[in-house]
Amino acid sequence: MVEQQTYGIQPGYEIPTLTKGPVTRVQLAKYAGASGDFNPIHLDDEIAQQSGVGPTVIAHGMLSMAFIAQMLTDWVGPTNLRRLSVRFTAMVRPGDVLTCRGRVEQVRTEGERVQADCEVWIDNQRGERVLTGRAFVDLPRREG
Amino acid sequence: MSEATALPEEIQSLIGRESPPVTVVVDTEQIRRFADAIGDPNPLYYDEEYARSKGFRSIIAPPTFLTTIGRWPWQRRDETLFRIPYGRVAIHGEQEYEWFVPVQAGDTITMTSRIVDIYEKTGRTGRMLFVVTESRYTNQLGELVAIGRSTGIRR
Repeated sequence: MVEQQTYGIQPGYEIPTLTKGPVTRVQLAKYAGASGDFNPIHLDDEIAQQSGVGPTVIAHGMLSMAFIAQMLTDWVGPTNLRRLSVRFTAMVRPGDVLTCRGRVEQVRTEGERVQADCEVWIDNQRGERVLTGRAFVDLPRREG
Repeated sequence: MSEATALPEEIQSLIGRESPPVTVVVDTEQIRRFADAIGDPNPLYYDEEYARSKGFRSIIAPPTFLTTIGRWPWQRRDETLFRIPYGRVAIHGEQEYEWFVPVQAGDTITMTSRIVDIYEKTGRTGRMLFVVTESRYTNQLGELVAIGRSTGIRR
């Protein structure tokens, strides 16, 4: 019965992993152009160094947030992502390969809705955690 | 360890400051460019017919698309409003969004932002200023689309 109510999702469930990258300078330029965030620390090595974030440019934090959001929307669909809060814990640089992961911590039934509270994170290719966060999603009904 | 320090009045007084609303018309190309830049191939972000078949007015925007609203110089009515005289560099420390209704192409989105907290901490790299800004987004139907909370770190 519980199985049915939560569409088979239980605490401990691992959200399908999403790997993004390697992040390129072209992607940072595209992201700047699409988002309007032209802070030069994302585009100009010299300014990145002068600002103390060097030796190279760093990726926009919001690009990492977009990646973890994609992991969640690939899983439950874009309209079922209710809340996401993230901390940017390390800098992302060109060449980094990012692995987005998450785990369901709690499943709640509220009327017709089944909601999951999840821990989410992104590690780079050296195993450093670049983002940590929590997500709250509605679990979509299974078809059929 | 963090040590509480009194902030200069000109910084302290920014808490509670609200920006005038920024209104932006979102079109299909803005959404597609953003989806392409983040490398997300979901057809709901590109294919109008498919998005309509799922009950939307047009294509929808990826959740973090909201970050683009109000970023462009011509969308800002008063650049000096949130200017904070502190440090050399501003880093994005934390971000939260709560979503209620998806942004759809053709929408007119209005954003209002307010500084909700400012505090200083001393870390390994010296003194840092944390600025928490809350933004509320509504659409042309008067629906609350999302609420964003952003923490910027200046040092």
